[in-house]
Amino acid sequence: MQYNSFEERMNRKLANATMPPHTQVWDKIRQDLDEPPKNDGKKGWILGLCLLFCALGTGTYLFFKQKEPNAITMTTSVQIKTKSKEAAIPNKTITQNAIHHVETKNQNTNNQNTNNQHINKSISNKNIIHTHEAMRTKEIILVESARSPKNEEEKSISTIEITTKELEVVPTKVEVIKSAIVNQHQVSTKAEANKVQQIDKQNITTYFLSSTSKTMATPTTKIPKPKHNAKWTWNISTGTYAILYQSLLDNKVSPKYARWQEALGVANIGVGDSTSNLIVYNDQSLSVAAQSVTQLTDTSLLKITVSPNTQFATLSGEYRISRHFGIESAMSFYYQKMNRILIPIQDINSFGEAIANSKTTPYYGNTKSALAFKFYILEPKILFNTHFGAGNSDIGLGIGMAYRALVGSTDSNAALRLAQIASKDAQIYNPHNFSVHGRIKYAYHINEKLAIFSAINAQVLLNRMYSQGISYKSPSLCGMEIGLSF
Amino acid sequence: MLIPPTYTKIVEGCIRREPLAQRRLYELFSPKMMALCYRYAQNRDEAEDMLQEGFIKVFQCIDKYNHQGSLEGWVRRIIVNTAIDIIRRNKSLQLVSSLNENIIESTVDDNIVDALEVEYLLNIIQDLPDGYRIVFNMFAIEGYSHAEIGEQLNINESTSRSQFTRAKVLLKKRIHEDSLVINKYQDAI
Repeated sequence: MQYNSFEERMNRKLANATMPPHTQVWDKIRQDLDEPPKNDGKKGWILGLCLLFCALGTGTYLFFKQKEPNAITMTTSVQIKTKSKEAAIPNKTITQNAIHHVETKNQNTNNQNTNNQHINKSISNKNIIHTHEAMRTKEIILVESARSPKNEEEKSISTIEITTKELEVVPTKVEVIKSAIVNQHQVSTKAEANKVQQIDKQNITTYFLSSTSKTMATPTTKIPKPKHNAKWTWNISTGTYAILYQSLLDNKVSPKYARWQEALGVANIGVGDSTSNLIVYNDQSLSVAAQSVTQLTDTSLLKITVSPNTQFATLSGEYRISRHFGIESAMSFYYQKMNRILIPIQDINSFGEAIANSKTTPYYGNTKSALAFKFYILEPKILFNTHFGAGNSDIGLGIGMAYRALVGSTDSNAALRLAQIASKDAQIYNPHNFSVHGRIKYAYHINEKLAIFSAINAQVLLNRMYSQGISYKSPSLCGMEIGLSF
Repeated sequence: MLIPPTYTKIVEGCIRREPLAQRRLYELFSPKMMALCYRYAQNRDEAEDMLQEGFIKVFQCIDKYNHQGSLEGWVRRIIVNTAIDIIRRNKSLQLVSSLNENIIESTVDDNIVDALEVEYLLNIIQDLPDGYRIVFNMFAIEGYSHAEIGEQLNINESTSRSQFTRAKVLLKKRIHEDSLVINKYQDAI
């Protein structure tokens, strides 16, 4: 066939030209195709009208039923039974302060409807002492009470107290309660998670916009070596916080390694396990927390008891339920020396995924009961804290956090992915490249550098690390470079 | 026109909204369609938007495909329409038909086109003004008639013709200028 004209020649050249699109295009198409069809307007109108009538009806009913307009407080009591064996373990009494917005439920039921009914109920147990006998009765009385208005100043600040005590092996009753709470308050529906995510995004924005008021204060007292009792108090911003979990159970963790941790002043603090409702600890710092979101509100008071010699600490105190969604969790805390971080989580799903993935990823261990987590509580304005343990996952997770802090990203997913990738890299490269001593030193080196340079930028840090002779193949750099490429 | 049995299976799978079939269809045609979009777009990002939106329409309307014509032709038509829609949506399509500039045919030899890289041709087409670009693509590459183009773009047939002519002139001029530069560079070496 003869092509003579200009356009014919162009046609021949271009009609069958190919150009590979980026792979993300397909992902976007897939995403669009997977999106559920939007509700049509008619259904929305009908639903809206129904809701309107319901609201009007309820309002009218309440209006006529109410005798004294100012006495709205309605008290109900719910009896909750628990069959947990651990609940019978007594050994400590803990006084909880003020009004608790805590929801509990039967530990053995997974009925979400029941959950919803309990949301936003609070335990009015001011100055109530949880006695051994009370626990043995296996009954918890929940009383719904109206909240009193709070001072605005109080709202912005909550206090955390940490107390160290020696050799606290046996879990406290509060732990048991909390572990029950943990199980109950898991974010069980996607809708809830999404709501939390939205709220968290707002919080995040606030955090990043406000540079002064939202900082977490440095502990007023240095955390001493674990053998001494100590008590610290510091302020913590109101908001929803994520507890970032880190698995410890790669098969390489050994008692020897655990001792290294101890030597470094590491203590793990954990709360309930979703299966046993009790913290399980051993030399390998086995602990599981089932909750991902903690809502710290105005008067939240956390008392954290650290038991250094057993590498875990109990957590007690007061937890507030999110006013909006009734999501509350027990809070776990991992600390190393005086470092700690708090970070609001934007996307609870990512953490859910991470935990879910951890069940199948060899690195994280293969069985649910064997999952072990460390905890990080992060706050963006602190930028970067903190804990780098000496392990692979420590480094990986730290890198993820570093990325987030350094780049100022609000994308916790990216940080999490980075952490996961970096952890794997660390696992690959670390064992043969570093001695235990080397790893610890290395981890501390990074930690220090990050702490110092986090406010500058990632590139500076990267250059510094290069200049320190850290090899290209080192996990931290792999992670950091991945971080920079996000 | 009969379509190959594999296409039939893919189409049927797409009608059932099977992800694998959808993926297969995308893999079959996306490279060509991407090049097509690239010709209509002003940059790669816009081209990928066109491709994305176009394929979503393809998957949504796949049940309307009657198995009579070429599947590729059917997909191509949807992608072209989508590209035009996107250009219209993003900016009001202005056809510079009233230009009074003299149309001076370049002296460039048409044979030179055969020697030019596809990528280069795609780029110089991208540099054309919107109206020229769309009409040139539709007429010269996609094979639409000026009447069809006029109908599709809501312009006169004569306008389409003039747009095409001007596009052709601009392209030739560009090729001519670029070849002069290249020759000069080669002489310098």
